[in-house]
Amino acid sequence: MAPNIRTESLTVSYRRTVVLRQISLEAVGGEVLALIGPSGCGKSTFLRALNRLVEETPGAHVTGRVFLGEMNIYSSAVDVTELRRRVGMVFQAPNPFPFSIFDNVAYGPRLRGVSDAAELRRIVERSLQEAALWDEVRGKLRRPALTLSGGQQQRLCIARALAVRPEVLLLDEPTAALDPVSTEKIEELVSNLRGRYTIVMVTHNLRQAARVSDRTAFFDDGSLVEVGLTRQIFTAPRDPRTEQYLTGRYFP
Amino acid sequence: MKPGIGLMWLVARGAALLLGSAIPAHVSIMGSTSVLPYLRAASAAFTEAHFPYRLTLGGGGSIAGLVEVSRGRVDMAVSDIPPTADWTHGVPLCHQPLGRQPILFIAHPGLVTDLSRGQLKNLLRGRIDNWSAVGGPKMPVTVVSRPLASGSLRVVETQVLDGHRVTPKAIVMLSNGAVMAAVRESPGGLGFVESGRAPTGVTVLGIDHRRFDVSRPEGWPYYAVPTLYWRCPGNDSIRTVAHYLASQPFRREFGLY
Amino acid sequence: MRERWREMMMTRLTWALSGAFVIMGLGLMASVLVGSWPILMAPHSLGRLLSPLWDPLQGQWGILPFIVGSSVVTLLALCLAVPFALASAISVSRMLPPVVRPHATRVLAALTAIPSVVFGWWGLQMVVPVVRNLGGGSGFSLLAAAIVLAVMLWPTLSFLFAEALQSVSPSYVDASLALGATPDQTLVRILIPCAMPQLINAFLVAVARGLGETMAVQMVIGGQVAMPQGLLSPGATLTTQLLTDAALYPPGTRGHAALDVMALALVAAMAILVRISARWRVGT
Repeated sequence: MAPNIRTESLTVSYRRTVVLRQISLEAVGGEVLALIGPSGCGKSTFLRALNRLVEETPGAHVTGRVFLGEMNIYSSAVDVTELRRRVGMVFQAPNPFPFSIFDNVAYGPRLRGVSDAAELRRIVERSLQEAALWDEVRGKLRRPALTLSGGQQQRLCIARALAVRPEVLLLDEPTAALDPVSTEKIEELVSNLRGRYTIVMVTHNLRQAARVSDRTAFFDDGSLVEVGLTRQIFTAPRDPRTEQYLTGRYFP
Repeated sequence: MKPGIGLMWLVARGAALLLGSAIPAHVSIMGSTSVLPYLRAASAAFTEAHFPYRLTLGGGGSIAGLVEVSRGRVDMAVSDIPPTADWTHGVPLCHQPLGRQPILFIAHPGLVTDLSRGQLKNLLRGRIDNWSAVGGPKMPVTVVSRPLASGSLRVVETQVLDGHRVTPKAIVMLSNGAVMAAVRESPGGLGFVESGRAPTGVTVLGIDHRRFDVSRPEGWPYYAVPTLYWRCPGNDSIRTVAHYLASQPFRREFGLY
Repeated sequence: MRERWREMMMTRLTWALSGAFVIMGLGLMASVLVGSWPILMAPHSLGRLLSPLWDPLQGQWGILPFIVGSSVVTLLALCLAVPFALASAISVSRMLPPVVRPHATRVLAALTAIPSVVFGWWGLQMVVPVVRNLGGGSGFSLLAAAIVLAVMLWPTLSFLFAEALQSVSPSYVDASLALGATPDQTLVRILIPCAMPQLINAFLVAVARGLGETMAVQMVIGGQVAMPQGLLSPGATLTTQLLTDAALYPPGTRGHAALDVMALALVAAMAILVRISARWRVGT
């Protein structure tokens, strides 16, 4: 069962600049939570705080608490490597490694010491099937990943993230660099993954948020403005800023 | 552009005529670096005494000097090595020796002080490779030599080695000073240097019971003869310069006897 | 109107200058080739060139000892320099605090500009005596030359290695870290493999620089023309022997071909290096 992921008063600053202010937000196990808001509002930073990737940025400072299930992920006892296995991430631009398709998917399992060829093959096949890429690449697993189309590359990145059997998936504008057909495939894939994984997805595409998410959170200027069921947010937002943003009349 | 250059040439030519210098007042010398310090001092004295003569000096080595002088690119060459047709293309050269420059055999301190010419020959050729064979301590010989273009190497090969080569295992140093330093610092070092005085930090070897003596350098049998060469017959100014350079008594201060 | 004229002149000037560059390069190669022709065309030329006997005054043109010297000194120097250079490149590009990184890079760039004779002098003072105490003999040796060359190549290699590592897209690093890789695993499994073509190019640049280095090597290698007997033995490289015997054959003399052959060997080695590096560039 996919766990909840919950933040309490999460604040992130880079050097002197506060980019996220006192965010308390919960993604319920198995749901798709969409994060929307103007550029630079802190959505991506929020995502990177959920797997502690934000700490790799020099000068970043995090306060508050983040719970994955019952575990505070910022407690000093937490193994970051294990945390990141449980919380997978897919980035805005497809970024497969310049290796073969197989080696891309096998990268995570190999990090964890899986070296048995048959087992690796099983993991790769399962992950590619789950990412709806298997039918397109079977028999071509030794080809360089960079020969795939943009949409295929992004699904490969999803397969790569799934290969370590995560419980949470963080998607950072996964379709921003893709054409409409590829976008549709990814959305379909997200819908299929729903239930098995807790998914937090940043998107600039409002219709995408409306199509695939259960709940939507609206961020503005580093703060959480409101969160609610997607239908409620899109039809009857409580905050005037949300309404202005959704109707295209919002200029921060 | 062209007429400008022509005009300048005419003006320069006219000026030369007006000054009445039928004898070119400029003499260029090029070649061996071993006597360059002496030539520098002597040419300063010469130009002071013979205004408006001018001497220009350049290194490049004995062979380069001979090649350039036979092609007419410099007025005089200074060389430790006699010219061959390879270098001069048969152009006849007149010559004037500057004096003798002693070639001393030096060894790392504490090995031996005297050798016979035969022992020296075998050591330099690499036939003897341990000092114990010539009465010294048990210590491998490290021969320190000069490049093939070196005048002192030629002298050693003709006067000591009877035309044979120094061992190919010799260390080759580009300058006199480097040979001195290498022999001083390498245990087992043996080498030869052009020097008018006894160098310090090394043993100056006596050969066949003859020792180099600064007060009586004429008694030492091994020497190079740095010589001035010019295309025969040469003009008055070249002959004047040659005579002057070959007759200055302060040559001795620079190790030329 | 005037703008267009100026632009046209700039274009022509650019073409003329690059043309001059090409002509000069080709001219250099042609002159070396023509110069070495008499030896190359002599009977059994290859066998005589690859003999271990060098006595050009007696017609012995064996440059094998110098080929061996060049190869051994360069390879050994690189073996010594690469681990250190990789370590400093990783510190400069990944480990140092980001505020310090540009300064560290600048220091490396400045170090690459130290003239080689300074390294040679340092080698004469420091390395030759150490090798002498270590292995007896004079201390002038292939080993001393390799050490001096390694120290000399280290800043250049570090600088190029650091650039290669920095050229790897940060998105690969993010992806690797997000999959739970440690920084060390990311370095070994992502950064180095992804930068490999550039790393190899940097390596080849260092090989070329090592092969071409003359002064620093000459000062400590000893200049022995016989085949070196080991790393502690003195020796010579193609470049140092070219320097040593340059005074023997001034331009235009008959034996000059012997020097041209060595120059040709160097040009050929460089051409091969350029070919290899071009292949790697295509591979990216």
